Amino acid sequence: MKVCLKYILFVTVLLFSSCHNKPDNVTRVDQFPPIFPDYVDVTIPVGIAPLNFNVVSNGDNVPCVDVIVKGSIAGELHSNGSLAQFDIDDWQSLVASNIGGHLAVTVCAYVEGKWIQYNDFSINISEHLLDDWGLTYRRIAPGYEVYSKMGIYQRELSSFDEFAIIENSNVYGMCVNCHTSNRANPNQIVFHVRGDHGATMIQLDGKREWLKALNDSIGGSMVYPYWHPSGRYCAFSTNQTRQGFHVSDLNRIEVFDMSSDILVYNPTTHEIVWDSLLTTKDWSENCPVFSPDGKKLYFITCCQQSYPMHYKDEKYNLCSIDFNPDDGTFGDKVDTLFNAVAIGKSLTWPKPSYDGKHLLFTLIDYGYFSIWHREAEQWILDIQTGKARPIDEINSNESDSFHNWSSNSRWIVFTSRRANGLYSQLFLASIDENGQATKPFLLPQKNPLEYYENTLFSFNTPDFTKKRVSFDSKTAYKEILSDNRTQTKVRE
Amino acid sequence: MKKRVVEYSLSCIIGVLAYFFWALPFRSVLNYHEEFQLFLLDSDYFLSHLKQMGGFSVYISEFFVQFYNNYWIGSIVIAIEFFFIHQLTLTILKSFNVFGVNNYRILIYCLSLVPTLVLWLVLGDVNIMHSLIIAVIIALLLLYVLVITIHSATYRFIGLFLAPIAYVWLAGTSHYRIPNSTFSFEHVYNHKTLQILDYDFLVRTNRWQQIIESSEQKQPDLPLTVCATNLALGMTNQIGRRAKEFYQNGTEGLFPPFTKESFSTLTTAEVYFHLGLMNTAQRYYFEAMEASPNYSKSCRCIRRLAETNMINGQYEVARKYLHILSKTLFYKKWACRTLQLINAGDWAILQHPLYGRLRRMRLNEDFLFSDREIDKICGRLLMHNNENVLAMQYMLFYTLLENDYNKFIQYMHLVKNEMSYCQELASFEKYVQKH
Repeated sequence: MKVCLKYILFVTVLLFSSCHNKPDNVTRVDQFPPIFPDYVDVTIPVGIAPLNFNVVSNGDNVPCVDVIVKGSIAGELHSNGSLAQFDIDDWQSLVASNIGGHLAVTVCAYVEGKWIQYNDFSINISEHLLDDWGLTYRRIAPGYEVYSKMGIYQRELSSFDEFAIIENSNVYGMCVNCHTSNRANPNQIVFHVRGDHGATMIQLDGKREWLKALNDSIGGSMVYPYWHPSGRYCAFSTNQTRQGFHVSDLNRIEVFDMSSDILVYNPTTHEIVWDSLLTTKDWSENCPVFSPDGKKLYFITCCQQSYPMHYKDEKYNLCSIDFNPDDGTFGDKVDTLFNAVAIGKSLTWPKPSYDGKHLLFTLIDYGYFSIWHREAEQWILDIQTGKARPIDEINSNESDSFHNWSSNSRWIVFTSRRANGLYSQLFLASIDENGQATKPFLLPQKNPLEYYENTLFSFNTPDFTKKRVSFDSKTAYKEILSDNRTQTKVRE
Repeated sequence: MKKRVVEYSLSCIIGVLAYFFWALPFRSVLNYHEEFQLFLLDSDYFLSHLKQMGGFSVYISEFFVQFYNNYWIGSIVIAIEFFFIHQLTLTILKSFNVFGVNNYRILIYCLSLVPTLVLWLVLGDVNIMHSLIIAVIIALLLLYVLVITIHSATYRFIGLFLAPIAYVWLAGTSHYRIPNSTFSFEHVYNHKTLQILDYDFLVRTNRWQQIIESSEQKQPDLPLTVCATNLALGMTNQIGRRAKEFYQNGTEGLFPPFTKESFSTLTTAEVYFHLGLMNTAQRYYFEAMEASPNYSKSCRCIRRLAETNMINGQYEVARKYLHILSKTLFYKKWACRTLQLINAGDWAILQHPLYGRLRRMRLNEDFLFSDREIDKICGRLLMHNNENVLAMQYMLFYTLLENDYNKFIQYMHLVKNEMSYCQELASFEKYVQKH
């Protein structure tokens, strides 16, 4: 009974209590406030949801904080309570009034019976707009072979609202992955359904088509997709993927391909285009992406190894081949754009900016499945000069992996495991015309500490979306269960 | 007055019977329900439940189920629920008064038992979640409000329409753990299922001697029970001496193959955990949690994940799990204590009797796990730390189960080189003489 009473009291206090004390007898300390997320000196775009944060002491949320946010140009906000929490409209208005300037944040926290004031910190407001509506991402537990609830979601960037695009809870045993839009255009999307009712879903301007998951003629299923800018083609890799599990290494999982090739699919004719240069026997071609003008196909390639024995020798370079969108044919030679193998590394997830100036990629010691590589870091390649560099401004000691560009190529979103080494979170950073990035910020949440601490999901394969994705999931579930599938054919 | 005493006595008898039923033969079912949920004392968790249809009854039920962590307390909870259901049923039946309460009192008493007994029967299917008990209470409460507290005919008429809506919103419609599957009499008090749950409970609570006693009474004949028996023998250093007394299903009795199912995976995880193969144990705990058919998280797995990460030195992930567990009622104390251990650093962990020992057993060299070479992995564990008697027993017995006596002899030599003296080794000598 005593336990019950304690519990009821705890819940009541939790639900109805908040701190309304104002700081007095404040002691100043010469350090930045210990806040979660780390928003000290980050750069944010106009229109982003409020950067609510918690003050953390000894791993716990400080229940009483007082925060003043002053714009360098105009405006001021005040928050007092168990965390720094701001009204969405007030925040948006303050940020919009300070474009190109910064917000000075003064934090006072009631720690161990006294008020402490920390050094002010800045939040910079970028001049670069982020005019996309939101993000799409997959949320899934960072597991091995079994998955429980998971799905593809979209999140409005200007608020905390998240909407499911498709979840696996309606089709038992289903997994969805590799959702990809065409340059953040929600009218052209593709994703895969795995499980008993497997398929590749392509939705063009609201019309959905479910392709047969396995195609004997390509020796497997379509995997990593990328749209041609015209929307007339979608490139896929087709991979015979295997997993290995480390016995004592902190990188728990190893992913390697027994083989992989690249194909291009034409959604109008349902034809698959092969090319001998992209389907070599001794090399694994993977992660195809089109250049912004649609005249090149970038991809990664490595010399096929004997797996699992020599998995550490699986190292990929970045290559390209010409592509003619008029007739869907390829050039007759493959160029190496970045020789990662020469520096003892492996390159993965190439993503060209839509303005054609840069190419983002992830560099790891070996393999291509960078999420399970703690050493994974983001690099940027200047397509004009061919020079590449690690983006130290955004990299961390843990895996910094999958990334995508905003539709105006001024912002990137990427996954990082910097918080705890296992659960991937989404970070956003701006990148200027010269490829210089700013300090990234964690995707804001209403109560970030509670949200990120409680969640047992990883965020992965994030992308921007210009508008909210319109997807009739109820009908889609029926279509998945119906197993009506369109057969693809290989162009002769 | 006398009638009230009889009515309360009847409810009390039901409560007492329920108490002993759930505290003794059915304690492992309580354990099953408790280990496959993660109830957080957190406003976010509460609100996330309220958003869903039926989330209220799930939340209340999860609140009560957390007390199943201690089956003596958990049984009290069920006893009170049964008492309450019976009292509510009686009150409602009496209020109808159609039979004339005094004339047909015995009939009313008999009828009052129906919901309780049906519920008792239905709960015999272990995949019926205990939110059903809350759903029954909600249904009876709504009926009570409708029949007893509303006297106006108009309001009662309106209530008749609103009550089902309120019921569906509060209690939901599905209380079965496995999607696309429903209650079946075949599952009710299914002997095999109960046996699995018993062993699962005993493994979880490290009651090795009780496992051996259970297997002595009835030969283990399910993959999980064989695996649990071997683990219990290994943990008590008896594999060489006694394992052949029990039914064996080949090497799978030591290391069951991976299946996308929670129980077997959990038991196998325990094997790897005690062997000191932390990454593999971690994988199995993770998979066991993910395999939960109703997508619930598991406090048992989260606890083990915190431990394996801590032993591996991945303190930030361990902290994440421990912070989650510190929001629970029954794991809070342990989580806070363990957080202090992490904060104290590597030295404190090495001093810990379990975590320190397992960290010392942990292999430094890395390679990809292969279940076809698990005997060799046991050999490496032994060579890495010659105090790992469990690895020695598993390695030797593995070869015996494979009927590979050449390998057995080779391993015996290895063991003799690695271990200066081991009493348990002597029990394997008889096999050398035999072959």
